[in-house]
Amino acid sequence: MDAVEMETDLTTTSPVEPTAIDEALADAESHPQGTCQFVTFAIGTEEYAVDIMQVREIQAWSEVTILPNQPEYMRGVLNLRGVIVPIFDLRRRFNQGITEATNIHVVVIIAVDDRIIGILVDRVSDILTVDRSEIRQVPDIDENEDSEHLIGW
Amino acid sequence: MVGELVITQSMLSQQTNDLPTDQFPNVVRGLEELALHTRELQESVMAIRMQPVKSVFSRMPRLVRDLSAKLGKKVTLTTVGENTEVDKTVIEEISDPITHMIRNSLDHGLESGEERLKAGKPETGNVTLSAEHRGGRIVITISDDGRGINRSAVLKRARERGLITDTTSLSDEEIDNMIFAPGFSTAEEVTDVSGRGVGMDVVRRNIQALGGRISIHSTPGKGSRFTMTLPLTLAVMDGMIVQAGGSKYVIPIPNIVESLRPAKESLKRLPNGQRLVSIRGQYIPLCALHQVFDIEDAITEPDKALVVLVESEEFGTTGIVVDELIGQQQVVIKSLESNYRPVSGISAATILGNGKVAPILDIEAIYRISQKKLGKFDMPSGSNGGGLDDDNSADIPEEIIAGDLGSPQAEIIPNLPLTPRIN
Repeated sequence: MDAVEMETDLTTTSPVEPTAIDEALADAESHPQGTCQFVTFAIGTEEYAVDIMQVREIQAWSEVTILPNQPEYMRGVLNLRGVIVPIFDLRRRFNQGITEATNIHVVVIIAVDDRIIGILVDRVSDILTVDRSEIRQVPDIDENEDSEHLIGW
Repeated sequence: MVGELVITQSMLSQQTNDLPTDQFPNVVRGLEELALHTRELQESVMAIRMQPVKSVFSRMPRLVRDLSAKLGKKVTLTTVGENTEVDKTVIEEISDPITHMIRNSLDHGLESGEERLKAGKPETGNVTLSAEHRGGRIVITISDDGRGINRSAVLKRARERGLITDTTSLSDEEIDNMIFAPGFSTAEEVTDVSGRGVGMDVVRRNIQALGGRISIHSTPGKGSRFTMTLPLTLAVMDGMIVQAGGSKYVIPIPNIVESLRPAKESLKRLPNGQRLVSIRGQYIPLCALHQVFDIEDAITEPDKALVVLVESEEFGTTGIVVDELIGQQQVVIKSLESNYRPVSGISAATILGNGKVAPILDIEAIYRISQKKLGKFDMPSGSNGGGLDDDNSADIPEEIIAGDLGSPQAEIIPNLPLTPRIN
């Protein structure tokens, strides 16, 4: 298996939802044994994954309503059967430029805490079954903002 | 559930809007009836949900009794307007803020018996809790006849906490509003009742999350008054859908006074860039939605766009410049905070007939943002004097214009200037 980055919460900068990130991390770390499944998706050539239990649904990109004065990675909000869901651009969030969204792009709807959010990615690749012990820690050399969103390799 | 029905109904009527009546008379009639029935059903459901605020107010005498015994103060609580009705979801949410503010009034606001006598007041303190309907909202006031806000203590504490710099000078009102800052408490020691610093900021945040506002009015030695304004319901409201650039927004109907397309001659501009429109002898400040929200491809000239006059307790009347009015519709209020976070200028969102999300404007926040943008714009240029008066002729002395701002809708002069009404 090539390096697949395990992705938990990708929502926003930490001031907004630090608890959500922490809890997602705690969740993953509290069950070190056995296997778990991840949905993997890609931005360009980089692959990321998110715990399958957090994924609510996957849908094609559709036009969102832009909210004023928001950070660039916040693309807008979507009506998901009567619930307003914010959509975040994962590429922009990881400082790799903004995604030119077309209808082949994919929005992964995930539940973080009691919130529902959507992340915009290029494509969904696969479902991976991984043994917990195979998840490697994120090296703590790079104490940058982005590594906060990762739980392992 | 009824909310979803309202959305589906508006979607249906939008889809079939241009159906020729002569070809499908029954469909068109059926849809009209459906619209009527939906509205009726919606209204009766809302009526069922309305409850008097009594259920919250009736808990307060006990709280006051317990607290006054604990604090050794004599207090009379008067409640007014117990039968004012409000949606049950709002009732559930206002109980905590009211409790908190009553505790505050008793602990911080009212002085002890001796102090009161010394100040020439009756020994027994008074706290009044009142509720009333005003302009499609419910207004809850909590007032006491205590010592008022100790501004010097507030200022001192704010400086200690680094909330403001030593040199900042604040108006009395601004100082009073410091008590809403997070982590703020002037109490010298922590007691059971208060002083933990998790106080008024939480109250304000909770009220804002409901789409409400809270303000304070305090007179030293005479007492303080807190005013909470909340929507009557958190479920639906009447909204005017407007367009600016490519986006649609909803303005709450209770705020709207009228809409018009201003004539070029009626537009003026102040040296700081603030645009004004003259309506029936009054100068009303304009705030352009495209400027507040940085919307591209919107109409920038107010005489080509539309002005929606909105009214609020906070700033009187102001004109919001939008491209177009789409229409009036009952909208279902959806929270942005439940999955995201509060967005300034927007109180909530709704789902339109086409399934798209449309933000509901918080006009008071929009007014504040536009004022802030003007301030920023004004500061670096410093003495821009009359250099910006390019709109028309700014031949009216500024003081006169300023004197007219914010005053409530005054007399209506029958022979109107060239401001054709649209709605």
